[in-house]
Amino acid sequence: MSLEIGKESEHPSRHALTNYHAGELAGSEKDEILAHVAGCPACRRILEQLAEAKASFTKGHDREKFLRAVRSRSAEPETAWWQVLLRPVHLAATAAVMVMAVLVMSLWTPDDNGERMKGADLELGYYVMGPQGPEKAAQGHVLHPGDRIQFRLTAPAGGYVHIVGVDERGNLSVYFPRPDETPEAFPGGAGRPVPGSVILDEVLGRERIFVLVCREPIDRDKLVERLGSVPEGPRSLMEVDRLPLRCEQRDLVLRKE
Amino acid sequence: MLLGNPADAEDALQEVFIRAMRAQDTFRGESSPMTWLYRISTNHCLNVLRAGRRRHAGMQKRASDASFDSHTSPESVEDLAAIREILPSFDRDVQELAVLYFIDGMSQQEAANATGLSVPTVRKRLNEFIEKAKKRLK
Repeated sequence: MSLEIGKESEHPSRHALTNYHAGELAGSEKDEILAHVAGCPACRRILEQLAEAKASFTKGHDREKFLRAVRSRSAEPETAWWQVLLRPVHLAATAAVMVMAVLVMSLWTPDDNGERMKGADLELGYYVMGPQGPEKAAQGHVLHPGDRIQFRLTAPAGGYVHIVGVDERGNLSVYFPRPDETPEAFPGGAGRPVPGSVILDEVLGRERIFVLVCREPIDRDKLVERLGSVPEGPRSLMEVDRLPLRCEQRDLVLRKE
Repeated sequence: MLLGNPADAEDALQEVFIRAMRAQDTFRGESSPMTWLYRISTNHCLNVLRAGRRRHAGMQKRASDASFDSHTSPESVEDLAAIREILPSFDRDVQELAVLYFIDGMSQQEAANATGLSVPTVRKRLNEFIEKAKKRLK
């Protein structure tokens, strides 16, 4: 295949032509494009395509309807998560690079090792598969590429569980439920393994994992969009608004070296 | 285009407008409004893709003949599918540059201006993308 970075072309970039077509250019920038396009059939063709695309889009979209939809969405209750979360989050934004090859492997069920429920505490931990079977990871445990882990949740009241990872670059990964899984209420209890496991890839670093336990099912895609709505990714859940009410959350940091 | 279907694109478009309205105070005028909107939409779409909403199993082979350079955009469905397929395996800054360059059609200089990186750094990261993409798409 031919996937190359071409030399910087003498043609204007498609981005520049798009800006020109949108009327965003002025002065010498606009004059340069005009002069080039006058003698360049290829660039004129691109401008024609942009005009066709704009006409097609305009024809298929009612501007007023679109604006009403935007207004409607932006007028949703401006409820910041930090106002409704039951517990404060401390998110030193050291989050974490551990891009995971999320492979849902066969479920293993570690023995309950006597972990006790702590009042109403919500707690997220994980098991690491060792030579002798799954082992509960201690605080500060250092992971390695190829390690296989399974999350462990203490959620006294149970609820609908979502587990999402955010690395320090703002990349989001949804670990539970998987896209092809229907959200089901997670039973209350202590130290219950979350179905599915994850094999860690070669990328080293840290990743902050959030678990949300909600009383009602929440739309997974909407959740992802809300989390993704912060331009550089949420370094703190306090940056994310319009998230579901009545959810508890906890987080932990995974380290991979 | 990046998200793969009109309904998601429409939804993303609304979300980008909302985010732009809310973040308008953070726009410092260091780039054009268009470039700023490109970055917002690129980041939003990458987050959606990254979160695993889409899996395009089977696209990889069909995309193996994909070819594009700095002046032409990936116009075919296969090219876009190839990019969607491989993007999540890269660091976020490389993902963003790949989208700005290959999908949004920016030059290296424009991508550098949009991201605040130098042109040599942009070129280096795009080359990283290409080298890994070639291995993935073989």
